[in-house]
Amino acid sequence: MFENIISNIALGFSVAFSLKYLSYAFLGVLLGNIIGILPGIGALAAISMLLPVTYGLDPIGSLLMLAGLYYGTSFGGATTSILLNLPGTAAHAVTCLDGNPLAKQGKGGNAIFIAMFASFIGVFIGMILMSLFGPLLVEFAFMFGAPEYFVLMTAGLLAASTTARGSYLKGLIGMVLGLFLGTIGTDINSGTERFTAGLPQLAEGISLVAVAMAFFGVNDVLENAGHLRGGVLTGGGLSGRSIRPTREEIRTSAMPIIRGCGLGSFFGILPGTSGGLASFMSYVTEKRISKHPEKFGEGAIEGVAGPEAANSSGSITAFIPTLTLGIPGDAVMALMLGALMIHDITPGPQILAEQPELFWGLIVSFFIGNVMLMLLNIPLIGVWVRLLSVPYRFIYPVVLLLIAVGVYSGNNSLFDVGEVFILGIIAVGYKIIGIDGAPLVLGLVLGPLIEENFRRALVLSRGDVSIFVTRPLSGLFVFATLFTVIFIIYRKYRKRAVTSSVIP
Amino acid sequence: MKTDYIAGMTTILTGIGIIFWSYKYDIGTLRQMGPGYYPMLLGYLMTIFGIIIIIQIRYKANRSGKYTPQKRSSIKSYLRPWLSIIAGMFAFLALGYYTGFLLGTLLLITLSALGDRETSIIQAIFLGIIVTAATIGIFVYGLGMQFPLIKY
Repeated sequence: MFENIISNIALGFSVAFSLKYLSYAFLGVLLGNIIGILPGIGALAAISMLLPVTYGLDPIGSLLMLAGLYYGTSFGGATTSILLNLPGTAAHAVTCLDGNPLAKQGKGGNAIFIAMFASFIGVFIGMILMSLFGPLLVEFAFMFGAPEYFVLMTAGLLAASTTARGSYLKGLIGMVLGLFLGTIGTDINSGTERFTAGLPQLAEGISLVAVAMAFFGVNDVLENAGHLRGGVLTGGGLSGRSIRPTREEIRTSAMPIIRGCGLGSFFGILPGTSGGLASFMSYVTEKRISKHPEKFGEGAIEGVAGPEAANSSGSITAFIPTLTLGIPGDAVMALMLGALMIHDITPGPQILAEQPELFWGLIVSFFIGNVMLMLLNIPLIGVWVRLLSVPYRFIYPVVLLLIAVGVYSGNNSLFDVGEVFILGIIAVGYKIIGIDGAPLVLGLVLGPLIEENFRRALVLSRGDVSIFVTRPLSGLFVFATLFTVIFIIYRKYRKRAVTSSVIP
Repeated sequence: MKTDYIAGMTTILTGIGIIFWSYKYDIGTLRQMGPGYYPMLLGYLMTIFGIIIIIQIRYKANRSGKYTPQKRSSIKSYLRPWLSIIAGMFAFLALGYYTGFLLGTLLLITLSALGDRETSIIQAIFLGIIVTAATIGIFVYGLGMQFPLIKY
């Protein structure tokens, strides 16, 4: 079996490694990086903007460029998440949680480097896992039906709510709010417009990017404007040391990265799950496993390394269902699928057999893309970090503008921009009463999926709620989730009992 | 404790509001869920959570490890930044809609920059001009995005 894998990868390399293709990949990475830096413009917008450029290229060339774009934007998104607390995509909302505090402590360069490194390893391991387990995992994914999806996603949400910076209960409330916001818009099954108050612009629902920008970007600006003296980075000079992570940081990140890869690869395979889920799960896992869970939210490097690795490995494995089943994992995959079809390639089970050079060439191109990303950015990290010693009072108006531009370019709609601004103001109110943005964003992302699977499951069972427990896989998940939740609550009460008996 | 109270009440009210609003849409049965069913469930969930928070206030009396937001400066210190930022936002939306993005961008930057008391009017205007120029250069010409810059 091993010779098979090696020959496959060799095939991929031979395909991808020509000067022409390498330059396509480089171009993609470069453009993606620049676009990714802009908050609100993620891989989706970048790919749709640059898709026409690839029409003239041959299939492998265009895929290479698109892959480069994909990674470039992902990385750019991570950079802004860390430095500016502006998530480029929902998947990067997690990176903000610990990445931004790190930046504020002057360790922004370290964080970015680790994020990059984690992504790189994520891609690498994802590649290996994909080669080894590809067919197996596809079969596993087949076992998932609507009830399983519902339970899995709900479990993910429940877990992710623990990441909220405050009480778990308030995290849950944020989550439910997010779920509710997700119902705004046209209901797929019945065509009814829900909660739109007659506004046609809301028929498509609330833009996810708008909510993310509001709760992370605008919120941040409103909290800090007028109060932050000097640059965003208060400590840390710009010597090489603040750019390259310390040995200890690398050591601490090692295991989270590996765990992140595992989680990410698993979640990436499931068709229909978004990248955000993988990184959230990684964050939650790291926090739970860590010996110092209080550090999370204050700048724990594991909170950056794990999720980034999960993100990247997930993005690779997400290609499996896209290529072999023709089922895209999320909107970005859908676009890639479209790009393939434009070049007369129909994804499906035959791809592995009929056009192996495409499949493996693609995988290898991801790898190359990531290498280029690292090469490109190592010198640039210093530049990004230096940009932030500009006094905050000049930065925040620009941030507001970037948010406005980013959100506008999503749908060419000023209404969306208005959404962000108003939601941002509301977000501050919520922050004051202790309800955090992260679970809300995840609720918004997964809400429609959760509802759809819930309804489908009930249609399957003809209204019988017990289906979630009677199906073996789903029942297993339910059990595990209940167990974990009860365990969490139990531990909280034990702690309270202990501390209140200690207080005189 | 006060924040918890507000949080709880807000949540309960929101939850109840959602429940009532959901009834405007067809609820259906578990077998055949209408569009209103799922939001209604969410509304109930929210209301329950809100009630739990209020109940919890009683039992939290002794805990000192509660999450408190960082020391907030006086409300007055937020007045200037917020007013300028909100003004800038409105300017962007209104001017962007009626006169195009050129003026909208300029005013967004200039007005919101005035939020910081260290920024003088001249600095704000200067920043506005530079950033607007850069925006046009990078986004419109460099990346080819569609922004109507000046509307007649």
